Amino acid sequence: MENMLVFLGGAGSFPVWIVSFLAVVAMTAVCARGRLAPFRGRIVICASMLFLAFAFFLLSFGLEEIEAVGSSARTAPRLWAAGLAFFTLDQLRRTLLGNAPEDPKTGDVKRVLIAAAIVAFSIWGMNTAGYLLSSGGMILLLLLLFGERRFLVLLSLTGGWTLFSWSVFIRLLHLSLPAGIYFG
Amino acid sequence: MNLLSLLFDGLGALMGLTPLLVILAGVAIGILAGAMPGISPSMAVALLLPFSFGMTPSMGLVLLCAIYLASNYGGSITAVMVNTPGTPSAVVTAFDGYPLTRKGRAGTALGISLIASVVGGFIGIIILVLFSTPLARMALKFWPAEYFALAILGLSTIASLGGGRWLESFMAVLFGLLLNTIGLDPLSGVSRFTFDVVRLYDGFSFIPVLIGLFALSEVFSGIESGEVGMPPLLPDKERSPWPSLREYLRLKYAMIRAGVIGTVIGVFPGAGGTIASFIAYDVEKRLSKDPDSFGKGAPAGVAAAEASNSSSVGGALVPLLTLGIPGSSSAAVLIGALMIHDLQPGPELFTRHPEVVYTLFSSLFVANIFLLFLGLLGARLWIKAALIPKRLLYPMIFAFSFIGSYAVRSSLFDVGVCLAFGLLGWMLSRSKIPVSPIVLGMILGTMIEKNLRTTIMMGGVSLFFRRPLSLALLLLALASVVIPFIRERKKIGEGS
Repeated sequence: MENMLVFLGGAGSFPVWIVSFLAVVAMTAVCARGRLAPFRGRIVICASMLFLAFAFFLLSFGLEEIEAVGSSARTAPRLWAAGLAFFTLDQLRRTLLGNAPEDPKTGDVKRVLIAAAIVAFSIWGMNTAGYLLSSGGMILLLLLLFGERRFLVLLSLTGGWTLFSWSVFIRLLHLSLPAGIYFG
Repeated sequence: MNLLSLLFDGLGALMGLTPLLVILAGVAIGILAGAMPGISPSMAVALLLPFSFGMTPSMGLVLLCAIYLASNYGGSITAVMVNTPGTPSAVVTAFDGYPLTRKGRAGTALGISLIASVVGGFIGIIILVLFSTPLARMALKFWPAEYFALAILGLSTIASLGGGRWLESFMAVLFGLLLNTIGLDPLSGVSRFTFDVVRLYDGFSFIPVLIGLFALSEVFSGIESGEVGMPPLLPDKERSPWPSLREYLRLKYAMIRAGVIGTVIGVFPGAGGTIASFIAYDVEKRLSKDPDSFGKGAPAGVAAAEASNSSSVGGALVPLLTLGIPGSSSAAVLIGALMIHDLQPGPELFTRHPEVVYTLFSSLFVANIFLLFLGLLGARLWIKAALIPKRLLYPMIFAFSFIGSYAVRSSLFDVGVCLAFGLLGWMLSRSKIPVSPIVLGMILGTMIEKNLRTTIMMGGVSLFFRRPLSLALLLLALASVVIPFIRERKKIGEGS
């Protein structure tokens, strides 16, 4: 049991937790149909919170105890996880009974996801391309995504931001922003 | 009388071009630094610390204190304009400041935040000058049990923050507290829930989480709702360019109350302007005749938040100057500045170097006046930000947020955290789950856990109830959660 807890709290188990979490989210989303469909978002959030509370509670058993300190590192996580589970279960009960606010109408979620993907790609690319190129590229792509087509505006905002961040953050404030392999 | 003459001597030392320019520069730098997410007041003070080396001790301290004072106001500018609090203590300003901007009343929000900052600043300084010693003695009487109770009192403000959504607020605050346990245990140093990821040993850095939950989630919501393609909201230039004198006067008690609360809480080491602004906001909401307007653009909410976080500067200087104990991280940097100039903070500072202390006090008055003028000048410029179309503004917010997130620990991991929390905040707000309690949980988590466990080690759980001050604070916290709950139930009962 102890060995399993040590494994679950170690680096190797991280993908297992992520996959389990995604599975719980997907399963809940699929199950929330029919009468529960208007509450799908809320039910998924409750399931995610319950999963997190369970994970923290379970992992707290694997935390090292240091006798000399006289107080346990397990106390707070267990206390908060139990509280979170309690309030989430009550929230879930109310939602299942139809006493919670319905999810709002879905808007342009596709555009949100594309924007998030562009941003994530830009963060991923910062180590290679450096902050200046990467953020400039991100601004350009986001502007295009949001419908800006005027060439001068695209150029001035992208170039302007790059110039501003170089002069203020790098030259003036000496922030060590990622330089990338081309400028490093 | 002696006090007054010492203050006038201090003021006399500032009457020259160089000292006034030093204060002006400090205030300008402070506003700019505060407005940049990721550059905290303490970071701004630390960055400028080397510049004070070549100055006299008085001038060096004057410069750094002016930065400290002004950066607390600077944080509110971006909180009001783009829902991105420049400093953690400006989180509460965003609750009502940003809704005012969305209603086209950016001028009102900026005007109130500026005046409240200045009024709060003056209250903090006056209390600092008059009551330094007794306040410092009071702070020394605080044991971990009292700190725990104070943090619980801070936590009880979720009753206000959730806007009546109790269950969701409790859920969110516990989620914040749970997230706060990630990293090294504050007492034993045991690594918790880090999965051996070194970057997680310090837990989630607060600033990226804050920027993600407040700024990016708002941007994602704007993209989803199609706001990104809409024309910008025109500020209320024609209708009310700036709050009227009557509007300011209507808020005078809110500012005074928040100013006193901010100073008193600022005195306690570790508490600081963030907790002060949460508590002051909560108090104001409870006293308001229209509590439902809070969170939707209540001017009193902006006034309370700003007056309290600005006055906490004066409060934080009390234990710093009288006992040598920093009341905040910025004050800790100031201790370094004092030591660089061979000045030992503590009671002897007042007897051996009264000229330094009273020049500093006087400079804070002058800095506050400069803050008013620079704030008035700058705010007219900031209002124009509301005219920028969202499709141009949103990419800039992303780029700016990343700088803020990265600057804290020079870590791309933190930038990723910022994006992740942005998406989380967007999903939560879609389901009408408030995000501010998460932030509150993360702010107070360490303080609660550390003092809870220390008290248990010192004398068991009963110690919380054996110490009168701790018991009083805990009862106050309980009352501030239970009373509105009962009142609301009653209202629902009457309605049905």
